[in-house]
Amino acid sequence: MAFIELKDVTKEFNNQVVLRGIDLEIKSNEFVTLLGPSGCGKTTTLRIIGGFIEPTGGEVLFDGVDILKLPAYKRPTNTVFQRYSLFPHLNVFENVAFGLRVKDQNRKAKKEITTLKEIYKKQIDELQYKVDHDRTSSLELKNQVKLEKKALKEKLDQDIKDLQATFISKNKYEFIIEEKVSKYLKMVGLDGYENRSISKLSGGQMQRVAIARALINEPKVLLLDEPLAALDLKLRQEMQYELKEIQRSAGITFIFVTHDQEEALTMSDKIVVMNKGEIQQVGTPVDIYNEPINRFVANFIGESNIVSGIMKQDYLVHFDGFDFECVDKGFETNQEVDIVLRPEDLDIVELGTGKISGIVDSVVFKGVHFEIDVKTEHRIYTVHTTDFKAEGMKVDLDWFPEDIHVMEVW
Amino acid sequence: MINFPKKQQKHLHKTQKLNFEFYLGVPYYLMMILLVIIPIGLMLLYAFTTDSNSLISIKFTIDNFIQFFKEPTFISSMLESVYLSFFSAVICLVICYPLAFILSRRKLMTQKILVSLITSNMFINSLLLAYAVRSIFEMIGTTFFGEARYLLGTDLAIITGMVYLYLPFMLLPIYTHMSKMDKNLFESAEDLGANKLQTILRVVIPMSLSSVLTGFMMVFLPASTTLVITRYLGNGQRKMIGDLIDLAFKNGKFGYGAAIALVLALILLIFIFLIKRVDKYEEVLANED
Repeated sequence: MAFIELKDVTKEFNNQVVLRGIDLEIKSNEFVTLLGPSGCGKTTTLRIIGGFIEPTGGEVLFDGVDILKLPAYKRPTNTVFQRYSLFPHLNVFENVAFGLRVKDQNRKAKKEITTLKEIYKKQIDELQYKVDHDRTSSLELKNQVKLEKKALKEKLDQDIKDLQATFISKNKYEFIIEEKVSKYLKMVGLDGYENRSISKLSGGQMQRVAIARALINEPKVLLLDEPLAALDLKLRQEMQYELKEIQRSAGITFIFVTHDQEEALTMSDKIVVMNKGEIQQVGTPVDIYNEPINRFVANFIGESNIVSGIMKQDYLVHFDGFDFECVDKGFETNQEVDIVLRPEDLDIVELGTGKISGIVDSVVFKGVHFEIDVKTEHRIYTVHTTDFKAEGMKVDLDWFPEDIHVMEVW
Repeated sequence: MINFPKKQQKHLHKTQKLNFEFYLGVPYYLMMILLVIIPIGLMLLYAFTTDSNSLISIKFTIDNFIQFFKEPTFISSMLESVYLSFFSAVICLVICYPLAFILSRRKLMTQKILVSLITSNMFINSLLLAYAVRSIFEMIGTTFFGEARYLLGTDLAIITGMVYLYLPFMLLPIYTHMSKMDKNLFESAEDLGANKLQTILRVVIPMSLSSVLTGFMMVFLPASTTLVITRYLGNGQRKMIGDLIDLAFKNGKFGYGAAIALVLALILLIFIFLIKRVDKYEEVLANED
């Protein structure tokens, strides 16, 4: 069963539609990434879940219960904000402890006491009702009720006393806070930084404090709004693994917003690709990469050569003036389609041995591979290869049938 | 040998730059010397010497201070000044703090209009303002007590006048600080489980404390030495320290006036020092290194 469910969530700002009907299911303990270009509505979606924005329409369900009425501070979510939003007047320890300090340590017990009192009142009322509506008005009943009432009262007093005995004193709570804060600081690798002031932290450290601060409330869902955007590449990659590790060990659902496709592919169990306030595709990283549903997704995730063509019949697609074998089926005869050819799937072979011929247009060294543009009759194909080819060389392009991915035109 | 002239040039360049910056400051240094240091020096000189018109027959003495501390009425008016202005500052704070918070959360245009309305009495001469308050109190006095000057000279009249005159000085620093506060911090506090009240207590107040202190001093300092208020609303019954200095100078007792002013300055400095100690936020920042 879905843990979080968004049903037809829409949002308008000043008559501008930001979200048009988001339907999304998130299972518990999943690492879900909302991926899309800026302005696609991913942050808005996150903020609706966190309770900072009210949607114009639709429902947000947690475990089947609508939570839209709940203010942010009552939701089982915590957020790591884009700019961390750490409290500058508090040190690292107090920032992390904030969530615990604003909590009443005896809230649960106090709540139980009030419910007990309510139950008691109801029982008394029932008894009273019995006496009031007793036609015989027998003394026996009255006495019996009196005894019952007394017993109830005693029981209530005892129960309350028991509960009050479980109250955590201020000193003890302080001790618990200290223990918890150091546990979470250790988790994010910041033990020993307790007394540091926030302004003396680096971006990566601030980000870790923000994560510890959000995790200490033991939320069911952690919302992360592009938390790695401000970090440099090396640190970002490190933090990606650490986040994934934290998510695994803490067993929390992560909803992560990013515009960085590589980040999304590295960390996610499930990627939600969004564009212009709509969900384009939901799937595992492998699915999204290998089977993009449309031109937008194919373009946004990884690099690709996208070609328009016609599906002649099952397993046969026509583009650039030739028919090619492929592994896709289920389209209508002669349906117009988009074809994706990933640059790393294309091979450059000797003239006359491949499928399409062309001339090497440009060669760029990228470290791991060369990025070679091959100019063919109809278009330029980008190829990633480890073999160097000189500019101006006449070559052929080749690929396997399974490297062709055919998509419907949207 | 070839390098030598180059080096020299570089050196020259550096000193030139320094000189330029120095000359840029000259008008200010002159102004400081002329308008701050010399007057303070003169004041000290007057306070510690006997009154005489000639520089040659100068005589050092602490009689002026002794005279001041011997006279119980002077001490009492000093205490009264501090008490009235302190109380006014507290009332200003009580009014302005929530006001600034509410203002800072309105739309930007609304904020601008409201702030300029509230601070509009800064553009009006303080004499007029004091006179206006006096007229109102006289009106109330005539209608309810049959005596126009019934309320003048009471704490109520003086503190009302001070609050009215100095309210903008409390509002502006607090409002400016609050409107610049990162709204995301309120969001993150709420996200961490703090309700509205807890957010205010744990985030807004500690973060805006420094502006509160600034505002407090902006009200407290001018209010404690005011002349206008006591003249128009004190009805001559409440002698505050400003009046004493005024009187001393009017009677040509420059040394005595200077002594009073010095004592007052000292007391205010102690106050500022004490208030600054309360400012935890700044303390945290100062203790960092």
